[in-house]
Amino acid sequence: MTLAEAVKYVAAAYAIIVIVFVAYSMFSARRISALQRELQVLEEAVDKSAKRLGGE
Amino acid sequence: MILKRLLTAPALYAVAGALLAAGLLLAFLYAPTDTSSMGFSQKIFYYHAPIAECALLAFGIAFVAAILYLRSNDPKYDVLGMVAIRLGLLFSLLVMATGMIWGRAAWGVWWAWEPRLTTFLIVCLLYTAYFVLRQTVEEESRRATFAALFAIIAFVDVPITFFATRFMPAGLHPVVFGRGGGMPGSDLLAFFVSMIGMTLLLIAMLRQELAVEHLKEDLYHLKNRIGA
Repeated sequence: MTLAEAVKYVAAAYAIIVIVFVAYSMFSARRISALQRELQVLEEAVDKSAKRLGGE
Repeated sequence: MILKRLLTAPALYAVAGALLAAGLLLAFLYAPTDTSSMGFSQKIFYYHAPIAECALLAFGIAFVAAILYLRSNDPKYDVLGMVAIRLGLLFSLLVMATGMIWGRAAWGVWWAWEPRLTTFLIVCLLYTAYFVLRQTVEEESRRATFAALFAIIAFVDVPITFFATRFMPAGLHPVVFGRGGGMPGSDLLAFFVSMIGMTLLLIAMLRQELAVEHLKEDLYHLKNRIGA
């Protein structure tokens, strides 16, 4: 195998590693932000019901 | 306190990233190019092997978590085991992909039914089945018990995979350390730096995944409490 061919294979292997880890971190970040949004909605719901109970 | 701060996921990611970058630079600029049949394609090794070790380490963590779960029935060990296996499979996917590319470059084939590859494929299939098993059992504690038992049984293949090149030297995979082969000293620095970096990356990912799972659990309980 020539050096040029080997370089292509090495570049492909490292590219796959980078792509998988970047994809994982993007997926993970999306999951965390979705959970944070959900938590925010719940906190707002709790606040509203606490205020309502306080007003009664 | 300082140690606790250093062990947070962002700090671990930063250190892991720096070490992995250093490992890559050492691999390409310091470690000599392999003079055997592998040639320049051997450069794949510096990430491929640490990723493989981390995959097996993750399965080892799941094995310990499974034993701890069966002893204590504490759900946190079930979550730890599940998260470790999930990450182990992610790392395994990378091992298989980079290994196939390296195999094509070094041996001229994408796949060979040699001991290390075959046992690693079995590991991947076994741990994929772990998630199929989890999907089939609805009741939480039964699911956790079955999953723990399965994780213990599946782990039997992990040491077989690790030692396959030593027990069955007829395979294509080289022995990295010890008797029956070994890496020259000049390559070891790049390998160890990458190895430490990859291990820290695994720990950072593990911590992050655990935090997410705990957050999900808290949300679930909160929803149940307020009837959302």
